[in-house]
Amino acid sequence: MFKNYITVVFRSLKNNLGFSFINIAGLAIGMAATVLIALWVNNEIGYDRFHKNVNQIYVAYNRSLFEGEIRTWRSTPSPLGPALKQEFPEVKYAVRVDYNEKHLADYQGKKLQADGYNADPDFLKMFSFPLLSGNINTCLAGNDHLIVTETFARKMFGTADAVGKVMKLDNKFDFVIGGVLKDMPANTRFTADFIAPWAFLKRQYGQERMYWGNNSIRTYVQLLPNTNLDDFNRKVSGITIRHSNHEEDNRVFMYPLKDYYLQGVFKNGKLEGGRIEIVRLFTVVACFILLIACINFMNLSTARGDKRAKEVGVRKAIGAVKQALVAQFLIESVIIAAIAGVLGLLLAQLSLPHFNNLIQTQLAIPYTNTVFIAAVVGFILLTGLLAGCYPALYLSSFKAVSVLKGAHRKVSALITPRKVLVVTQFTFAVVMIVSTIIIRRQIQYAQDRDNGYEQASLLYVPFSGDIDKNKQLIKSELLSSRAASAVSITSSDMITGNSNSWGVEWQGKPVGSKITFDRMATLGDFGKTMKLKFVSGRDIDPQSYPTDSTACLINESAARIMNFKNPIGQLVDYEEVKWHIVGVFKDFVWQSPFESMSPMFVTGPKSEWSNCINIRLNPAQSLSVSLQKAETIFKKYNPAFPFTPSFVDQEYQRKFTEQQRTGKLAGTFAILTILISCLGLFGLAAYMAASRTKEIGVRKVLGASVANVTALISKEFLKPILMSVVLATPIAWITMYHWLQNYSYRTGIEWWVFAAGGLTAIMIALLTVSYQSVKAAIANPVKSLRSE
Amino acid sequence: MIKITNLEKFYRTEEVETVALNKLNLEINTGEFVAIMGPSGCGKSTLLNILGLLDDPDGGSYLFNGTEVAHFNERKRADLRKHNIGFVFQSFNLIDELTVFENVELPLIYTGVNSADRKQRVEEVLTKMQIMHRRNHYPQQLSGGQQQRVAIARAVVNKPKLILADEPTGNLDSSNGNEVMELLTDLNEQGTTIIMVTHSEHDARYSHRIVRLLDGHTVVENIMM
Repeated sequence: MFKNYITVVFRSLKNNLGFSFINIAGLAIGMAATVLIALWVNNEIGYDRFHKNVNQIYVAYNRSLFEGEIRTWRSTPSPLGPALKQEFPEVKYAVRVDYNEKHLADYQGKKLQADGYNADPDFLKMFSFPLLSGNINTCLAGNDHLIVTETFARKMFGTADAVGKVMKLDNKFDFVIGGVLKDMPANTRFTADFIAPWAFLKRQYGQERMYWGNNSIRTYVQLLPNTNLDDFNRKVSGITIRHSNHEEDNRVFMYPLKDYYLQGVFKNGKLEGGRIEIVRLFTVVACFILLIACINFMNLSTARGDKRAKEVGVRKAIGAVKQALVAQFLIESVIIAAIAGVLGLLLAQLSLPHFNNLIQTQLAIPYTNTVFIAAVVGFILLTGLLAGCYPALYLSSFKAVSVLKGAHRKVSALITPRKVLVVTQFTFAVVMIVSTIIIRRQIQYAQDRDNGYEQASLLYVPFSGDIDKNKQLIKSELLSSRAASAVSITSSDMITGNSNSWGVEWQGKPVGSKITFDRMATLGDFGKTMKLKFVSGRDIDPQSYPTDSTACLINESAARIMNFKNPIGQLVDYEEVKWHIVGVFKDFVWQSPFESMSPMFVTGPKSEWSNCINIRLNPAQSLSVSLQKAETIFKKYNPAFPFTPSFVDQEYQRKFTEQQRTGKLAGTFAILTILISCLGLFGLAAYMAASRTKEIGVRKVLGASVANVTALISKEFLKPILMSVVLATPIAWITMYHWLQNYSYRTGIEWWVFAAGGLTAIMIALLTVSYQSVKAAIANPVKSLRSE
Repeated sequence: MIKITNLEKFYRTEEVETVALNKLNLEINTGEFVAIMGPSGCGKSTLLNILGLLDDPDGGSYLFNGTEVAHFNERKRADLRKHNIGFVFQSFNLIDELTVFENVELPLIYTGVNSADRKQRVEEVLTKMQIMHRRNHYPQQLSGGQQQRVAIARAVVNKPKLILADEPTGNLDSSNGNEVMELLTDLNEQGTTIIMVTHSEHDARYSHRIVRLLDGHTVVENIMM
């Protein structure tokens, strides 16, 4: 029996090549898209969850009240880790990890840029990153051993075992390679070229800042099995308050490592989700794309019912019961789904590099993974059953009597269930089109935002090697060589908004206020170099004003909050220095261009806090000449390091990456949705035109023109598409309204976006149908009438 | 073999009710060859469909071998059909995707005959129908007469007690038509009961008895000698 079904499936596919192509291609494209999204979702869900001890590992979080709102964040003070380990027996390991930084690595004259961070020695015992060589107990020991990852080791040391080799960091610090790590998977936050011991910080800076008020590193804790998290959190909650003698008031709590990536966003102390939302969104998109492909299958299979009717009748007359026929059609659609599944995998494999590029990741199809194979088989079965259930019930319900007499009613037009399916498809397509337009508009809106300073020909060089020592010499030579028209040495560049503080005091500040200010420091010429717009006062200029060592600048938002009648000359107390305000500048975008601007506080040279040289290139010279001059100067004062300046305008664009990625994904899936839907529509139009051959013939004999007939058929399809536009509008509006709420700087939703989306769908649909309707319209009526 | 009493069948559309069979009575004995004739719309095909358990009557009784089958459910009807009744249609109704052999084999698959027996029986019947040399061809590759022979082979392969033929020669030229009628006669002589709907007086002459219908009831029965 089974063999008989399979025989019929394959011969029927072969005999109806056009139909088979449309059906299988639609399903394969849908399945490929679903596989790609599923791979991505799986990757996201597995983010830092592959560690053996994942259920015992926690991330330390802080929670505190700011201006009536509870803020939650996961940068912690440096002494927290050791204190937790010392004071609580439940803590098996406490590991501190700071942020990735670029360093110059040197092995026997071979220099490579290396990205690395510092971590406590128990790092590898807590996290599951296997060592290829080296000893887990000693590889991060002392302050002179570090571990490198496989790829970096190969680049630096070739095929020889790296362990025991001595590598120099930043031309200054010798390190013995203690171990080589297997390359880390892409879905972890711990990727690096090397990991240095925590003690390296002391070696680097002479001392380790064990200050409870500075939250700038991450702390991870592994608790003993069977520790009750709630009890533990109650116990540790006051640790910072206690150790800081009540100077700090943040409460500490542990949050599961397995959840922080997808669900690590808190709003006013309550868990609000996080990345899980986008993961869910794309899961829904994947389901819909698959559904649309299945709908195609259903529509085409039922439209093709006429051709199958005879077979149903014969089988019934011979003695097949309905259940046997349902089983036959289900098996048939599972077989077609399997063919489409194999093609879909192939398509997914072919488009994987492009997809990886689009979402900036390194996904691979795990062909040998048994779970994956089981998932694919399950997926094919599910798709086959989903796509096959309606046609199976529909086809098997044909009455043997009528089909065998040839009296089976022809599918004259889009009958109701099929219309519903087409409406569903195009509703989703229109939602995708509208969403894509709105996402793009939002990105454009933020890109067009006045960012408050001039980005063109502004570049920055982060400190490395001897730059810090020679910074003033570099600055004056950049200016005297006319490579730069202005130079400002600052604590941070204009892109990475990386510091803030609530320790700013001024006269009239409300008691207990913890308003948080963005923090920067400069040695002068800040406004001039960045071309800030001053609302009042002037730039910090220690050359002309000797007292400017303790001068400060604030932005307009800060001036509003401080509420001075005339801010110039007012004093601000910060880190035991009284700063006098010399200027107020218009807000500039330092953090996300999608967020509202924060108050900002820029201190003068007295801060002694500098990490970066900002250079305004001389407009009177060509870019290449200026850059060449700058390079010569940096080479002179910092010979060991390559000159790698960053251009502010280019770096600024990176702030849009995440949104652009979402936009591109939405666009890609919109195109796929339309493609699949149109494949289906094309097939449907073909069957409809074929089944109306006689009607069209009669109409033409009675005097209908080609245009009349074309319009007649096109109109049948126009109605459901129009319906889709009507349905899609509120769905798209609600979805995108919700999405836009993520951004405080956001565009509005204009009515024309829906009109444009709807019109696009209608045009594409009409174009698709027109081929079939014109073909039917120009056919010779004599032939079509004789065929009946 | 068959006894129908006061059989009724109506077709309803939204506004009109058409009476297809009007309290029809008919008895057919085992081994008979009966032709049913009458003008278009007189209910011939409706009767045949009810006799073949493809359709339900709206009233009356239908005894098949002494069992009341008028209100059998689908599963029972399918079961009775596949073991007792073979169909021959005007338009052959062969499955395009299956070869001659596979088309004939199909009823045996549904009755659960094993593969070796199926092969033997299909070959036997194909040989008998003189179509064995075409066993691997598809229906579209055959002439009308050949297709109808395949259809008859399919109808008899299960050795049914009753064959229902609905205008079996309607789509054939006269020589092919005669061949088909000879085949049916042979089958009847071997003991199979045959009920045939036809428009052709010529074909009807092969039968033992002609039942003439008009407006859903029997008007006359001719016994052929």
